[in-house]
Amino acid sequence: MPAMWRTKRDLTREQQWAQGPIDLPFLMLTMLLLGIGLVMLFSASSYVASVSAKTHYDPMYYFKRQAVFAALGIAVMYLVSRIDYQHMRILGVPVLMIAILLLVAVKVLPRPLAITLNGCKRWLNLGFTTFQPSEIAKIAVVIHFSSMLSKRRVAQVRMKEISRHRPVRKRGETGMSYRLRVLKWVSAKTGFGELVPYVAVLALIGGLLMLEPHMSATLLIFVAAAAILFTAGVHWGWFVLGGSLAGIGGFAFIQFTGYNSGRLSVWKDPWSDPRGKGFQIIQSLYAVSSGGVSGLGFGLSRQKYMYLPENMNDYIFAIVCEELGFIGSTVIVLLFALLVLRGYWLALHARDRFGSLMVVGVITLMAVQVALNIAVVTNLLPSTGISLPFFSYGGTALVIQMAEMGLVLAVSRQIEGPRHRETEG
Amino acid sequence: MSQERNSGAMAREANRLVLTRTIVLMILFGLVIFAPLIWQLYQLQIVRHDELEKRAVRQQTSEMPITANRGTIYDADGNVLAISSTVYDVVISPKAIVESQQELDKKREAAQKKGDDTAPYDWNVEDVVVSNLSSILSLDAASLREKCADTDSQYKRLAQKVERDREEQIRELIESYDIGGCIYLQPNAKRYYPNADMAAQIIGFTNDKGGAYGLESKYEAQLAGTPGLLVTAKNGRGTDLMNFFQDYYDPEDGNDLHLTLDPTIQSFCQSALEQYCERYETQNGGVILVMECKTGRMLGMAQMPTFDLNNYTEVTDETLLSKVEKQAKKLVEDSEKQYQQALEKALAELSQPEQQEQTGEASEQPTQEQPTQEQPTQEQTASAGQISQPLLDENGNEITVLTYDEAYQQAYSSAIYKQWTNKCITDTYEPGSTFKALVLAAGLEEGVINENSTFDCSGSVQVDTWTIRCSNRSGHGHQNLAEAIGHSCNPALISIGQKLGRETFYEYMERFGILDPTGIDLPYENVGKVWPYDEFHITQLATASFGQRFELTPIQLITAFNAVVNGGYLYTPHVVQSINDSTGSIVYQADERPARQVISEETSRRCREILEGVVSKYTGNNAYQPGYRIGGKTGTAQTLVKGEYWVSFVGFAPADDPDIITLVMFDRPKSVDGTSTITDRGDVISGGAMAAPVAGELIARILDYRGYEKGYSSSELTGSLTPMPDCHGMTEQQAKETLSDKKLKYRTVGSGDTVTGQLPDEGRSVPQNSTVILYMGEEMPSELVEMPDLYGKSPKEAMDIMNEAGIFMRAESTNGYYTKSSVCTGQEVSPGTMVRRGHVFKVTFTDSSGSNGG
Repeated sequence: MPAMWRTKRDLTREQQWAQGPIDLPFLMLTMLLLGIGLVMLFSASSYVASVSAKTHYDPMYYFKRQAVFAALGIAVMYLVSRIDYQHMRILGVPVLMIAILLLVAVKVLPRPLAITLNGCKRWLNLGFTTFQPSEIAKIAVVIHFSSMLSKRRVAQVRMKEISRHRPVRKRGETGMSYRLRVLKWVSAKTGFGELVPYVAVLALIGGLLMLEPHMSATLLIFVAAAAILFTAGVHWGWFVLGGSLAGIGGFAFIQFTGYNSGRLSVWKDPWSDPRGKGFQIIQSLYAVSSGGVSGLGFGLSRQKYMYLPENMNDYIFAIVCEELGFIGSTVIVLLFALLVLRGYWLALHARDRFGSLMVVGVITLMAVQVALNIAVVTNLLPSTGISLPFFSYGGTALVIQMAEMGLVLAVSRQIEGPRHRETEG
Repeated sequence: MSQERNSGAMAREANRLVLTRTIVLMILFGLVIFAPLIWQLYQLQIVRHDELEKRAVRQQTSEMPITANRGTIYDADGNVLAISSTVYDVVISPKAIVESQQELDKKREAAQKKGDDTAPYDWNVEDVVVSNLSSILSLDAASLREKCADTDSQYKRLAQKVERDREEQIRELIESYDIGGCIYLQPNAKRYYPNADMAAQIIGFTNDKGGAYGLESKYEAQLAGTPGLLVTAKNGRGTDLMNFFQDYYDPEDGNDLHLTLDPTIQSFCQSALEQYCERYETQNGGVILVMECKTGRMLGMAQMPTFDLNNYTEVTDETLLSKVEKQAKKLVEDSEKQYQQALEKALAELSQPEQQEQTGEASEQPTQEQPTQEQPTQEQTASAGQISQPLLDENGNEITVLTYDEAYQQAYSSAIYKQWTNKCITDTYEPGSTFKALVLAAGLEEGVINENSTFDCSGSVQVDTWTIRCSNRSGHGHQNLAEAIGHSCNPALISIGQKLGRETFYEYMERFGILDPTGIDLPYENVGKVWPYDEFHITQLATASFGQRFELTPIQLITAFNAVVNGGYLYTPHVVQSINDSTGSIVYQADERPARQVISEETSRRCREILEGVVSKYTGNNAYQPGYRIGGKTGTAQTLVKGEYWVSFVGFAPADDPDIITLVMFDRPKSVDGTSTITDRGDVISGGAMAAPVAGELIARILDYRGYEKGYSSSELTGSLTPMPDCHGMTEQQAKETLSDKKLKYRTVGSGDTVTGQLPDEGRSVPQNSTVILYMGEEMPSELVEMPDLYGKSPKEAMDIMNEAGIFMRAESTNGYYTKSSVCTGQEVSPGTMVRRGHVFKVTFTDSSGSNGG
């Protein structure tokens, strides 16, 4: 990036904007959560690491690896935040293509290259680490949708023109041609036509994800995409309709799939199958509730002693609750809430609509992921494999998460502050 | 232009839309979405914290209970009646044996590689365990091997409650081979009863679950204590996390019971009962109760049959064992009879034509208690001529002939229950005439009779349509109240009952507590079988007046009788005096206040007087013990079987101010021919003849033990005056008989064959019990003797000194009684005066303790 070593004076206005100060509150919240997450991962993983041959009985094993990825993540976040995000408008389609390719790859590649865990084929093996293409798909959808919808203003004008008058049947016009014109009018009037390409992309990505299967990633992508569409101004009726359809579809899915209905009965009463499907959630509930008001104290979780499975991945928050109690866990939830609120605040103040939409996408992704994870850990929702950003063990996911934060920071740089007005004036 | 402006306006509009919608999302995903999460965290971590944490802790920890020491039971003197000590269960872990074998093998290999001596490792763990344990515990080695073969198991119990010597051998074995994980000793508690069969039914026993019977069960909560706990953290795989946390909760030892039972009195009771049950050949044992009159403390509670608490499932009583044999024989005979009947019935059915059988079946089936599906088919197969099918009774149980061993087992186990029964509080019996004391008290209290009332007894009395006989068939004639009670005259008592009337009589029964259990602190107390009020008619009133046709427990009767004589107060009997915790501080003290006053002190005093007369003059005379003032009442009641009786006596002493009351009851003394009232040894089966002497003897021993001094009336001390018979010319044997008729003692002087002289002369009155002098051929001295100085001497000493000198004493007392502390304070003839031999002189005694006390 040649712009980086030029003096400011030589920069274009666009380039100067991209060099603006990053949003400190957002950065601080990110770093705080990353730090707490890393420390809690150490506490949660130390016992399991200390008794496993795979980790060479090193209690620091998982912590060290995660710390390396955290450092890498910070670097990536910084680099991404330095990018003039305007260039990303053109990245939408290519990134989306790559994501789709990777999703196909994970489905078709044979075993050592693609990894199957618990019957789900979600991971690609890069040799030194593994990662989920769904992480790429998330960000790809966000960038693609944001870039497409930032041009909506123009498209909308054209649509409005069309929808102003109901088509009248012209003399000598064939019925077919007239019906097509009416259809076009209806689609313009309702905004249906505009939605088709987005729905198509979502259907493709969602379909590929469900083949893995990866329910939670699908859900996250759909919610984030919906948030972007909603922000961009798509008629609210579509969301009501989409929401209802998703509800009905979900209900039907639950009704007809044994896999999920079993989860459902265990969700309602984990003690109906305490040694089987209910085991993990019971262990999680034990951990959460054992914390009480002030917790057992840092490092003093009992459930991490081989009771709670996945205690450093999807269920790490249960250990957090056990050690830090209601006070500690609420503070962490509030920190996430503050991060999300600050993120939306940045979206509100972004320099342009592309920035706004992209931040809305990234922040919504994170908010929903955090909420879903905690809801699962506390048995508010049936269990589904979803990790907690900044806390769960997983290097690539953390780096991508940090890159997304970098993206938000990049947008924050271009917010018109008093300094920009001065330069303009 | 307009297009552009339009587009600009639309852009602004679109931007505003982005703004408002972002705010909507901000509220939704920044605030709303997190609210339920915090609510749920609140629910789990604060609302459900205790509930879920408890479950979590249960899975995260392994708990080892630490047994608490069971409390000790002491008698009134502080001797141990029941005590626990630690013994050990021997457990092996086959899994650990395999593991330590593997370790041993590894060590041996390592030693081999190094070229070291492999000898220390050349042994087999299982062999060592099996050979040593089988010899220490005297177990079969093969079965031990079998247990070791279950290598998944960590817990195989080999022996229970191993005592000290063998425990030490096992510890040595563990230490010398360092196989602590393979064999371990688990502490367990064993209960010891040092006195074996003393008050067995009162103390009771324990089983694996704790107190099972008697006080051990009644006071389980006090005795058991709270077990302690060793809590160790473990991980999800069940491995202990020793360095994580460990909690130790101290066990709280059980409390100690201190009983009212006095070991001396208890042993008096037990030995008397054993001796006389054997002598009277009582078919159902007997009971002796001793209670303290003014507290309700049970000082002694003995019963036959009894058993060894250390071996409570073993029958040792001989009478009971012989009964078991009889019962077993009867069971065998019965089962043979039953089988024979069933066989005949089956054969009869066989001989019937098939069709008839089927119709017969149809009509029979509804009357059968449990018509089962199999029955028709079984009978059909029987009709096919196979009588080898099992015969069934109407409940479908197989009828077989019992072998003697089986029958013996059955009879034996019912005998075990029999010997556990606490007859004092569980078995009921007819009190008979002993109950008359209560009727007397009620009559005096209500004023329907007094000491001057007279009764006429013709030998029987007509009540309703029944003729009730008196014990004296020819009747007691005209008698006053004291005589009527003394004679135990049924018609007199019936008339007292009738004067009281149904309502008042029944009310007194209630007030004397005989309609309710006494509330003694022992389990399984029964209440007597007394008519409900609406079945209590004239006939019942009449029979109840002399204590028959209803039943009470011995404890009920003694409690009510006590109220008659102790001043009128009904005390709750109890055996636990106090309870203290393991640190020695008292946590419970028996409440010894009377439950209520039934009759007045004055009425009680009048009753005592009359009841003392019963012993000193009438039917209770066999309980009379010179030197002690004893009151009481005899009782004889026939059971429903002819020739089987309950004979009893209730006695109290001292009669003027009762301290103890006792009930002696023999259950079914064996009559010589099964129907008469004479035993093999010639004892008459009656309360007066059998129970009264036992009670008198017992009371005398107890009073002596409790430090009561004997007190004699003038006639008791020296007897009434009796004329000296003429013994001249008699042989010594003849003279002895003549004198003992007159209750005189004698000594001889000289060595002739016949009496040649006597002191005093014939016809001179001398007090009974005096020692007269017979001269056998020797010259009678004629000179005077000097009156000895008797001042300060006791009555007995004085009498001996005077008799030695050949003069006789007539005692006089300032208060009418003579005790050990009575001393001579005056003489009719002053000491030193010369008096004639054979004369009687008056000596005055004063009770020094009384005069000193003022």
